[in-house]
Amino acid sequence: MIQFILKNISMSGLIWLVVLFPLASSAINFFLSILSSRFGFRRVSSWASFIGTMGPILSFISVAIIFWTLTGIEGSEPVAITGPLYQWFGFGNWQVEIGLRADQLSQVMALVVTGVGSLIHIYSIGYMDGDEGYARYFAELNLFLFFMLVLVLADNLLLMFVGWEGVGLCSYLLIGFWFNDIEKARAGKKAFVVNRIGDFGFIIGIFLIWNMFAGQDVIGANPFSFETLERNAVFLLPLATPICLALFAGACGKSAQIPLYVWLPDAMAGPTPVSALIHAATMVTAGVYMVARLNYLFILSPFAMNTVAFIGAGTALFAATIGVMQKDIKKVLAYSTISQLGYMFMAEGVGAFDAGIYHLVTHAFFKAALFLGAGSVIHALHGEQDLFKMGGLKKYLPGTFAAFFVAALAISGIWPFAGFFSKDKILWEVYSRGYVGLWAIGFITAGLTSFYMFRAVSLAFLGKPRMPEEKRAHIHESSVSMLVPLVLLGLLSAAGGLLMLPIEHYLLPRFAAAVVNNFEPHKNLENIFAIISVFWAVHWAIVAWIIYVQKPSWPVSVAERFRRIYKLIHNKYYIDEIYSLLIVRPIKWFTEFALWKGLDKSVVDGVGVEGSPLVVMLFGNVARFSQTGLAAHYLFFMVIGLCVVIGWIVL
Amino acid sequence: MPLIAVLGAAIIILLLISWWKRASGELLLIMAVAALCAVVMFSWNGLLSPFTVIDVGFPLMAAFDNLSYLSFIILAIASFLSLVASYNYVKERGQNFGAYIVLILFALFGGMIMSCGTNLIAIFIGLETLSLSAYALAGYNKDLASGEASIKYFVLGAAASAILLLGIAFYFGASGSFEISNIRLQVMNLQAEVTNKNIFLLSAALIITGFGFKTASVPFQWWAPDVYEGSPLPVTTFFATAVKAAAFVAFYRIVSSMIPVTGDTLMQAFYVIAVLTMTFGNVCAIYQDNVKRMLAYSSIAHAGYIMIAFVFMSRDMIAAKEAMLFYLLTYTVMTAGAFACLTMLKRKGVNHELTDISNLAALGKRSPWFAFAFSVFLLSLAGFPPTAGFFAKFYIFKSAIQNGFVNLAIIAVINSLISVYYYMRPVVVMYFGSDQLPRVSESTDEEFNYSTAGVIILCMILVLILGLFPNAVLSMIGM
Amino acid sequence: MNYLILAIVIFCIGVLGLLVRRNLIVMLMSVELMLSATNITFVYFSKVWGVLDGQVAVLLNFVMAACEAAVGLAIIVQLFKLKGTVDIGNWRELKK
Repeated sequence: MIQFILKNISMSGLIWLVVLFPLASSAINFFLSILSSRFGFRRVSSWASFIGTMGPILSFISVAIIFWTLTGIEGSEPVAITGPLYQWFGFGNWQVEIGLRADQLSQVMALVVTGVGSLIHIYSIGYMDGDEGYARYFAELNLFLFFMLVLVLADNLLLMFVGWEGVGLCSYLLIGFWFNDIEKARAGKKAFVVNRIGDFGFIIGIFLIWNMFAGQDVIGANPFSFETLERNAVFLLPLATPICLALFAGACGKSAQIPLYVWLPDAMAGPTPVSALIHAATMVTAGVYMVARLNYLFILSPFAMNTVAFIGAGTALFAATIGVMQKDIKKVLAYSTISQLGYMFMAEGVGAFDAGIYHLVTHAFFKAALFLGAGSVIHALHGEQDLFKMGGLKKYLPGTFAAFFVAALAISGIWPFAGFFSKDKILWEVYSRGYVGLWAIGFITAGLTSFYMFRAVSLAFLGKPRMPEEKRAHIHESSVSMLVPLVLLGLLSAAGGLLMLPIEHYLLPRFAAAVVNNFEPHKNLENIFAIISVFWAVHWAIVAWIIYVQKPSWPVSVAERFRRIYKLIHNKYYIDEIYSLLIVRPIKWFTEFALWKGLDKSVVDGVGVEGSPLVVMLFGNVARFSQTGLAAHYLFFMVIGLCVVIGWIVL
Repeated sequence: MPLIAVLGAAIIILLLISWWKRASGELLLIMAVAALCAVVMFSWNGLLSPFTVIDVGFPLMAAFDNLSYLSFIILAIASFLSLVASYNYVKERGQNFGAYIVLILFALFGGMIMSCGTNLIAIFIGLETLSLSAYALAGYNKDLASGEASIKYFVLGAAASAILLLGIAFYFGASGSFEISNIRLQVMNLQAEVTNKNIFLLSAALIITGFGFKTASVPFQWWAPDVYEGSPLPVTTFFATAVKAAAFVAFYRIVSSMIPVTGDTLMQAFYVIAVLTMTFGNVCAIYQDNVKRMLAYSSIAHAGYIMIAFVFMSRDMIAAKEAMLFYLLTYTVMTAGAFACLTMLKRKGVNHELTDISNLAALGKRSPWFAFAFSVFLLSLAGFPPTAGFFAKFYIFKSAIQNGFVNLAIIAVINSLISVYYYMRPVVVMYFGSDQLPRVSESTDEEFNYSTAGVIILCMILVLILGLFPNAVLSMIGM
Repeated sequence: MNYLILAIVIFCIGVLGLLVRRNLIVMLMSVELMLSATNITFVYFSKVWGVLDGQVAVLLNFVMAACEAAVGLAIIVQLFKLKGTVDIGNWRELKK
């Protein structure tokens, strides 16, 4: 079978297929969703789910074939490029072409995206069962996958930006999927606005690159392709820091780093599989991918690299402390995602791009498992998300519990689960490159991670059931289509550690070597650190278990004692409020007062200092009132216009 | 051949509806669509085959070059979109669909003659055929708004036609022929013949006025917002797309023959007209609560952008033609899509158009795909990066800069930034709702009907194609 | 040359009539006046250049003017039915 396909489909054709399968299934589901508004959604839902899951699965198979074929060829780099499909648009002698590229980095990413994506699609069949927007849901989810694959496989920066915007759009659509709720619609709005801020940085970065390349003849006709960028990175040296910082601002927006992380917790308003796919496993890692993809630019600017590392470390710790206090099970996971993304940026910032990407892969496994587990719990409890109204679910949901527990072990970094290898790798890289302070932050964060994860496990699955009696009778384990992906992801997060060496070796040639400090740690230190951190994590896990299962009265008394700190963290450091005070309200105030009342002032003063909006307004009013509605006036104006034109041209 | 197809179809349908009273709307629509398909097919063939001079034994007064064929295609697409979108619209108002089709086809015929004519009298006759049908179409709804639109259009249009005709007379007086590329014109030595020069410049001014009226450029745009608002929605679509495209193409032909004679004088005039037109359209559109009227002003603004092509025409004729045609094609598709979306808005039991912005509230929630389509058209009109509208603007601005009109390009970019505000407003209302707007007591529904939905989907596909393959389309235009 | 002046004077009278009068029928007549002035111009230039093109154009213009008058009158009748007046000043609902 594989032989047959290989014989008949060329490599570049196969890469295109990867992208086209989700697009096709999205288009079909789009028509199904139109049909469903005519004929009722139940008739089409089985087709919708079949087509909706076949797209990602076929796409995954294609990626896998590409991967095996390319690695099977001895002695050459496993890179395939499709070459330009066609010229998109051009200016002067510069062309922007549409093409895809499957090198080591994008293969790994595509495998994760399609693999985890397929599992989550399968899970969605059960989770979304009976929802009216069934076909629409799959259409949007497939469309998301399409844009994500474009982002990952693009061979130039502009096409990547198209994918970047596309996933943003789909994320926005899916957050607001249940739009009856005004709160959820608002969450979508917030995500939209915050992401635009980040995208603005991305665009500025692109313009700066263009600006630097302008006038360089050696660049060739295709300035934005990654190949050109890599070859000619030298030309960007004078502006490397601003370029990298601007691009990183884009990454901060998409990957929810300080100061642009505020949208992600609110984005949990969408259906849980969406949170798992978009807001944990794939889309939010786009920023990490972008930094890794452009590693040769980032290493040009040590300052930008340090910024990445410090913002990553800061976010990791910051989000972890907030995560400790959250009551909503999905919010805990959201803050945990932000924190883990911080880890990845920290690794990339110190130059260990391979470690960052490896953590991205394992994180996709265990965070998807955690989210799907949480989804399964929420499904069983009919929409209950408050941890303090759960408890004792181990008995009712054994399969979910097993997967969730394994994933929690993995994220806490306990041997031999996947998270241990990737997190330990990051911590070691950070330490061995001389960033001891960052290492300490990472180490503390690891403890916190373990604590809040097991807090969630204890509150949800262990201890005494705290939900109302009548609800308890209805709790049931999820259907097979939900359980199978969950268990598979659990297995992956258990066994993900095995992938460590292969992935690292595979990825390493893609990354430029960063400047490494001359810091020679002791050989055995790595193993010692590993052992310490396992104990550290286990210790915090046990603490969480004791506090929340054995002595449920403790948290209350602790909260009483440290009332202020508790309130501070519980309210997420009041960041939303601070933003509202410092940024949102001034802008509102400015538009209301400066523009409104300023208009008066400028009419009186004659000269508007506040600038162009006033001029536009003024001119607009004059122009608008010239449209009197009276044909005679129009004729008069026209004749005047005619006289002016005649006067202008003839005289 | 394309001309014969349209004329034939129009006459056959006219005879059919006068003899066979019960001819069904579907049948007539299919016939008209077949004629339009024939136009596109013949034009496509003509485009691909090498340019040959057709010799029929008498002066043809028309050129069949790629400019003509491409404008045939644009006109046919525009007519097709507004015809199909209007099927339901006309039917549920109980009006005569046959006469409607005939009017549209005659208008199309006039537009095609305009865009391929090389003789001023031929162009004028085409323009009159187009205008007379348009006056009747504007008043096709038998209500007050439609009547007002019709009479305003007629009075102002008749005056503009008379002015244009006077311009043609002076052109004839200066050159002794109606052919726009006649020998006498080319060898005319303006410095030597002062009288002739003045007559010629006078004719240029009058002709600019006449076509400025048809293309709705400042200071001759007064009729446009009112007429666009009052006319039936599908007819507005036709005005904003087909009428405008035909006028621009004919205008291009005439101006291209004048430029060698007049030089930079015309360029300066167009410079001012372009700046005024786009600024006027954009700043007025900001205040509109009626989406239809907002699109009318936006159509004026877009005419301003196209006028930029006329400014740099004196430097680079070919680039101006390509940029203008690409812009016209893109603009046709996205405007027709946006208007089709408006046509689809319905409320149970209400038969008038729901074009106020408050009717859009929360549509993003009730019918997300519809809202999505509308948003795409609006974003494309605003010229957001990966859409078709972006590339249309991009090519015009780029050519302007290449020919040294940097200031003009900057003004145009500022203008498009202003336009983002009012194009985003409906999007914001659809998705987020707005507290400032009066609440609508009953909810608006988009009533599904296949013909209008088909138009929307077709426009989406075309916008997508133009956005994804701008270079391919452009190279086709440049053939 | 005198013909030309005559034509321009008639044209201007037409424009003035269009501007000053509000009765639709009179406005229509003013437009016809403008077209007639144009016809005089055509004939004059035809004589100056010694070609017949201009005279042919005049014939075509007669046809066009007739069509325009027909459509215009039809619209005016339609409006009269709607509002009972032929004063253009009464039609100013669409504005701003």
